[in-house]
Amino acid sequence: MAKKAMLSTMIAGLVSFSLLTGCGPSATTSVSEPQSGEEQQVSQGELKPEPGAELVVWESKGPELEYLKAISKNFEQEYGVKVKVEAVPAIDSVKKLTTDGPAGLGADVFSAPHDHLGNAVAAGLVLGNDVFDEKRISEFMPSAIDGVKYQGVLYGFPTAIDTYALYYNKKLMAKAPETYEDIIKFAKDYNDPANKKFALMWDVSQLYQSYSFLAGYGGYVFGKNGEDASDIGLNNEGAIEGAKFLQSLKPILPININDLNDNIITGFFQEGKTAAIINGPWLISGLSKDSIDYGVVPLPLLPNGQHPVSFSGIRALYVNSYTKYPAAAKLFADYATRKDNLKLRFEMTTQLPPRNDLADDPIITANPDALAFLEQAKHSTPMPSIPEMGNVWMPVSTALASIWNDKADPAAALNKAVEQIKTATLKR
Amino acid sequence: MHLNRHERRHGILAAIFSAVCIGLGQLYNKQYVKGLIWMTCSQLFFWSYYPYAYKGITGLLTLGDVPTRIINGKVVQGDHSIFMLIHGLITLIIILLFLGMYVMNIYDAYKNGSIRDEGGQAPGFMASIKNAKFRNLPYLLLLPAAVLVLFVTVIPLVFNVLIAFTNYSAPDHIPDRSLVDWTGFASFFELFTQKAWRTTFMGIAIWNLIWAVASTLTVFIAGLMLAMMLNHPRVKLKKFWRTVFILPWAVPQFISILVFRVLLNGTFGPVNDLIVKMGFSPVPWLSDPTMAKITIILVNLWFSTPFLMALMSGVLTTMPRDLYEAADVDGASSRHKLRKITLPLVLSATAPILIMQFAFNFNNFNLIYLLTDGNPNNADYFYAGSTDILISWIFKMTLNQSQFNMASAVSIIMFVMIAVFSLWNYKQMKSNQEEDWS
Repeated sequence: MAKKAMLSTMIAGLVSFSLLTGCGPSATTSVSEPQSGEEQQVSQGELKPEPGAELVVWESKGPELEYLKAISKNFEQEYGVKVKVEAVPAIDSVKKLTTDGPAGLGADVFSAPHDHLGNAVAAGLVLGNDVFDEKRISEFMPSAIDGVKYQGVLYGFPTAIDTYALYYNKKLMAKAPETYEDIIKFAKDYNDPANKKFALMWDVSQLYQSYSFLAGYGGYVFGKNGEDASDIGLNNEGAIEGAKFLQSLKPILPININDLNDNIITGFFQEGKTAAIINGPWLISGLSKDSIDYGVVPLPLLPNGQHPVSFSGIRALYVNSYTKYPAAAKLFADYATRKDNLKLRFEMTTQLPPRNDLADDPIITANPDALAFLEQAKHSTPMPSIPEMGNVWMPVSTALASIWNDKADPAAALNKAVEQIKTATLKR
Repeated sequence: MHLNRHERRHGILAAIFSAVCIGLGQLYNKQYVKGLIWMTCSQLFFWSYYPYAYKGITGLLTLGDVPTRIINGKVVQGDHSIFMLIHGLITLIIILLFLGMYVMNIYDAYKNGSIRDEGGQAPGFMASIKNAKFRNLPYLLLLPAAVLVLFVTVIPLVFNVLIAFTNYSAPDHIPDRSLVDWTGFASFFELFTQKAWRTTFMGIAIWNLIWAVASTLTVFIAGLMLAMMLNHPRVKLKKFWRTVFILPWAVPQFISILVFRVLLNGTFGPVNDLIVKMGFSPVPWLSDPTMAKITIILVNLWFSTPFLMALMSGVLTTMPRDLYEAADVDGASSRHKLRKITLPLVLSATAPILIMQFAFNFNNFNLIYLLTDGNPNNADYFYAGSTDILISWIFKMTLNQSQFNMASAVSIIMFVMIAVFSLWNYKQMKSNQEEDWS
């Protein structure tokens, strides 16, 4: 009897044990342990990679990936650190790291558009850039540095800056338009809506492009360099003034903007029907294949004599906070943004280097397109990178559409949009 | 046996013992092995799982206290509210299962006690196992399926529903950089009281209903008409016509919708080019709110009619000829024949398909998303355009705007709407069938 009881308790023990292990995983994963990131005090100036360090780097497929591959070979020779470059789209890297990073699967250095920085910082994904000292910061364009800062802390290593400018067809326009009045004058003779010939086309309802009008008169999205979500400047006097001017341009582009999209705009420009369009440097590679004779100039001056203020995007490398080799990772990011290397990057990608000391480099001055974009970049502000920015695009785009299509009062339409942004960002 | 023979004393006592401590009642019933197994199992399970369960349930209640932060350059992993919600849910279900076991144990003690009350003896361990093998085998076999259903179907569904009662939304409540909290019915409250949300929801819901009804009706009528024309004895080249009419259905919808989007462009589309060349003013196919809605219904007509036509042709060919001959003898007009013979017969044969069509159209995401993307814009709407239906609105809210709580609330309401409609329809159909059979 006693033997039987003992046996049964043993069975019971086994059963309960297996029961426990059965529920184990679901329960244990909820226990989050504080991640012990390696403390690495970086001494000023000299940075030494950890012995045996190996890095994984993420960058979008294309010439920028080739560039990183090229310099990673030099980096390996110079510092003895192996670098593996993987193709991960820059716009996906933050999202991927949010899931993979804590598990230690992410890249040590990754490329991301600057407007993802706010999310990345808030999720604890990036280490601060403490490699750049005052002197190095001054080598870069201020708007590029601003773009990779978040709440006053510098995080990114800027590799390129892009903004949009005016493309014009040299066959149709003898002289590059300097002001919007030039374009309006040109449109009087040129426009022929029945044959779909228009002087100027741009994606009117996209805040990205139309922002230049609002900001050229003093509008802005968020205050304090785009970090104060409680201060929205999209319906201030300047923005309304800008929207009024935008509305006054309808006669030269008398169509419903729901009928307009990027494909149509670039398509008509390529066909030689549209005389000028607003677009970014990424269009160049598509255009040069065609026989179109085009030029690029900064956006035309507004009637108030000011330059339109375009949105800029800053591409940068960031160091993942979960990296095992923070020193080597920082060193690599720094290495990739040194003068000679960014010069190489421009050669390979034709994306604008955000360094002041490259602006008058012969390699850039020999390229009129690059010069035009660089000039426009001086009159640009980085897109706000705070998470609230996600709630801005759609309401403003709707407001722009009603201002354009339905002749809505700019002040009323923008007020409505701002009200929507506020309810979406502040209330809860 | 020594105490009171006439009372059900053992049963109640055993139940009370088991209620106090799992397995104690079985021991009292002299089922020592079983009692010990119950007892050790439950104690081991309880004491080892208790900390997790406590954590899981508090997590479910609080949804976390500290978000992930960087302190002195180090990442301090905080609470991930959504993971905590899921873990809490799983914990809750395990606890419910445990409670079920607890109740079972009390019931078992009571039952065996009752056997003793009747003067019998509670079955021994081996006897119980033998018993279980025959009586409870079906339940045992069902167990894996039940667990699968629980974790694959029930938990995700409950999770989706629970999201509606939180503030899981951009920009301020996206884990793990910030926490999510329970807000009760706030999302629903906001949906109906806050002006921007209410106008959006009401506007979209009404258009969604109109769209579902109109698309189903137009397609039904068009399909029937085409089928009747094809079935007419005087129509030549039936096979050719049938092939031509079925073609739209054979082309992948995805592609043809995008083609339609280009064709119907108000300024640059070939359709309007033609219209302008013929001397009319261009039609704002997709750029005027009302016209866009009509366009969507027309395009859907083009897509879905072939299917209904094929279906109706089948129904029409099985229609009893003699009914029409009798009608002819009675001198009925063709309109009469259509109304009194064809329509009722076709309707009763295709009613289930129509309901399916309605439910499908109600959530016809492809057509809206690819044809108009919800455009033209509507300044009064929150994250939606004039032609958005509920499902495309939910898509925009979750994927573009990260307003998960609101999307969940809307999907719950949508679910209720469709469920009520389907139930009502099901009942109608049932009563129809009974009429037919009686």
